[in-house]
Amino acid sequence: MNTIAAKQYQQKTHPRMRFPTSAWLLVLPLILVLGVLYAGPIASVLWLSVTDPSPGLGNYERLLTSDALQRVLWSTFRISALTTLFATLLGYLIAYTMLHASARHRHWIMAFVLVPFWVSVLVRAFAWLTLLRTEGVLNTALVSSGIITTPLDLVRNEIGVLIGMVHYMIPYAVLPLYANMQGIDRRILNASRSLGASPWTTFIRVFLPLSAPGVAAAALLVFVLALGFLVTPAILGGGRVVMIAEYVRVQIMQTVRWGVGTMMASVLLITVVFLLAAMSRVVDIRKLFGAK
Amino acid sequence: MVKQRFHEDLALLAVERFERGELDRRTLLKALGALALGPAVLASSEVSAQTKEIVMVNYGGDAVRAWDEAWAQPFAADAKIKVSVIGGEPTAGAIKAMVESGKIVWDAADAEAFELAILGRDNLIQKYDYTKVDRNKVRPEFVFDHGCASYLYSVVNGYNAEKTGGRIPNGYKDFLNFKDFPGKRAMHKWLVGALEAVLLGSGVEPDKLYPLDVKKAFAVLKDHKDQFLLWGGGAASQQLFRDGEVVMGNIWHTRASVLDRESKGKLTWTWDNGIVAPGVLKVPVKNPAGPAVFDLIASIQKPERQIALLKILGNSPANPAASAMLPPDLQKVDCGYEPNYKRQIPINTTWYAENYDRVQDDFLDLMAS
Repeated sequence: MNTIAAKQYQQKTHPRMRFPTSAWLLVLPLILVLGVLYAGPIASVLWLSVTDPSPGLGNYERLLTSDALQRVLWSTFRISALTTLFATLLGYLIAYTMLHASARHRHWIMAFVLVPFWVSVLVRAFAWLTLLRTEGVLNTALVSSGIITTPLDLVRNEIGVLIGMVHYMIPYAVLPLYANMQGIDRRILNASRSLGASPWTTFIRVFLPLSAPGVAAAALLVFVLALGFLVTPAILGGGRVVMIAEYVRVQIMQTVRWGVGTMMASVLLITVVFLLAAMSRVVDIRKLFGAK
Repeated sequence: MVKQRFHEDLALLAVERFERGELDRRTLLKALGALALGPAVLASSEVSAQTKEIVMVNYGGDAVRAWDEAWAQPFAADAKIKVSVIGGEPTAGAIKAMVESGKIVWDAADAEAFELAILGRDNLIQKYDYTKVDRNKVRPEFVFDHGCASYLYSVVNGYNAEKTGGRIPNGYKDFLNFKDFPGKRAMHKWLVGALEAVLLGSGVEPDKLYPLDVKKAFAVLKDHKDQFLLWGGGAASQQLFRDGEVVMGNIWHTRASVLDRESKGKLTWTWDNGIVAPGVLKVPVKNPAGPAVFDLIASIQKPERQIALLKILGNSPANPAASAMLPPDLQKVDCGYEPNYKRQIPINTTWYAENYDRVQDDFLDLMAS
């Protein structure tokens, strides 16, 4: 097939160019269900954020004037960014190791990545609490062995939240990274070595740039998921760390300030949409979320 | 989220009816299937309205069985009206969501008294029918337009006697006494009793406690922020004490008495300065069972049913006549028993109704900053 023919073929099969009516009919029920159960409620959340308690942008104005709201936003972004950094870094190491391990080892590593993935987030948060609290497993062991004299504050603060969230997020980082690394042609690495580059140079100049799309995909996935975390910060933060989701929950259920709650939820939603839009210029979002 | 919880409630309801033999397995599975597969189908059918049934909802756990045995079953036997007790999270927000959705399935829901004014203002709950419910069977400070106490609880200063070396804190006056009682303090996340403990601990006299001096309390909290461990639910508060993470702190008296019993007095509490608060049943507008719910609420006031709840769950009678009839072992754990009550401070519901939403948010913000 020559280039022109290939181009024509691509155009013909491009989903937006040629999507037969019958296919639309097939997905119509799903679109309707999504419209009623998903788009509808989201629209009402957006609507509430500009109408409750009084019409206008009063709720959004609070973002500029309220230190408390800014603090919630700031800690949400800071913690999500740190979680992304650590989870991606650790995930990269795991994926890289998997790539070079024997098939048997690879299966074991995958199992250890995936099994915690299936454990409820609530159970994991309480497990960390048991391990890390003042008179918990870790502190008791450290104190009784004489390594430290006063227990470390590892939980009910930001450190605890980070530990819990990074732990939760590692599988989400490993999977896209590993998929990406598998697609890297090993012969390129061999070529680099045969041309005299050291293993380190080969990694930095060849492998790392080739795995960059995987890093971007993993980081985006982790960051977006981290922004909406509720259970882990609520339990491991012990009230010291309030992220958006927890704040929204309090406004909706406890203090019944729905305008403020829905405003914060909308801010989260809009942020995520913008993030995805911005990142779609760098990575193929459809591929990232398995649509391709 | 609210909707999700709401469906879980309905599922629980179905399961409970199954357990009592009112539903066969096939119908139950069908009902659960409908919940998971077709919420829209469910929303269009009036689940509980057709039958003459009263649905009570509380925050779940042991309270479901306790309300059922102490309140629901005796009433159902007398009045021949079925009563279902279900567990959920019937916060003020949940009531608002339910009423505004137009699908009201709860008749009476567990509430803090200060919610009544907030929900009543927006016409989301009904005023009590005081021709049926007897306002004289409740202490006057716990009677309001939209409800009156069905039970009492107290936010008391609990302490770890082993860690204090047997020393008993002088109510909340020793709450901030880190010199004689070094160690962390448990602190209620949902405000009731939290600022009170701080203010009493910093020298405010009980009779001048309300209106709460929020500014002063926040200044103190700021200075000692690392000393407080927040708890949001009863189980979490118990865990803080059991794990030895706190030396003292505000805790519901129901939880304190459980700790006292299981630790044989090692983890215990003092009634002094306890903040007594009423537990109220809020009735959503257009509740499916109609006025019959007030017959149920009136029946709860009977001393024997009040005492039954204390026995099963530890919640104290709201009816002083019930407290007066108690044997000594129950007097010890009843915050409404007159000698205990006198050592405590009734909560100022008006202050909470006016300030709760704002101060709660500021409090969480302060603890997180």
